Amino acid sequence: MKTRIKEYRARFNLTQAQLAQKVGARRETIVFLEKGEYNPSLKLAAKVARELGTTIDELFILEDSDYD
Amino acid sequence: MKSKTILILFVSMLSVIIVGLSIVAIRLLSSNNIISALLVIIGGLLLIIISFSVLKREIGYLKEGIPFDDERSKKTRMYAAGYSYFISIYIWLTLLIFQSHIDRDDILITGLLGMAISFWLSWAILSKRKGIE
Repeated sequence: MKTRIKEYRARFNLTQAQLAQKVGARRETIVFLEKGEYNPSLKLAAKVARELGTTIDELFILEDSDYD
Repeated sequence: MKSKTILILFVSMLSVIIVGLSIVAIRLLSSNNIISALLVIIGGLLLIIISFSVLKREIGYLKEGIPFDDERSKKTRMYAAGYSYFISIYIWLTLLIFQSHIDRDDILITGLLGMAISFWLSWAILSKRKGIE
């Protein structure tokens, strides 16, 4: 899974820690999310999308292998 | 549980463990058991160094308003508990197999330490691993 969290975070000038604080997560979770190495719950994905002013579909991009 | 409460509990528990290890080290030194005392002192120092770095990080997070626990850390802890339970069964089985050669108190201490160490190791490894779902 790919994510565009880093790109959107840069638009808002947010650090990983600041985004983590806004969505109620730990900084490590944001790090793993940005790398696409953690599948968030729908709730967390929605919170991150809301803080970054976009939608879940825009932020999280499932690759073909993720559908297996 | 709030982050501040967890930190206070952590510091309290750490203090009790350090005091306990100090008492053990002093008793071992007074009975001229130098090597065991040194092992206890080194273990205690390692515990203090690791705990200090964890505390420093968590206090920094607390000041930034980052929670102590979130969904990923809770999942990691659950997986770690599962793995360590599995490992602990085999630790106890092994100790029982060799029970005729080991003192009963040593079996208990080794078993309990094994459970604790397997949990902390599992947690440390899983927290760095990708793909936790």
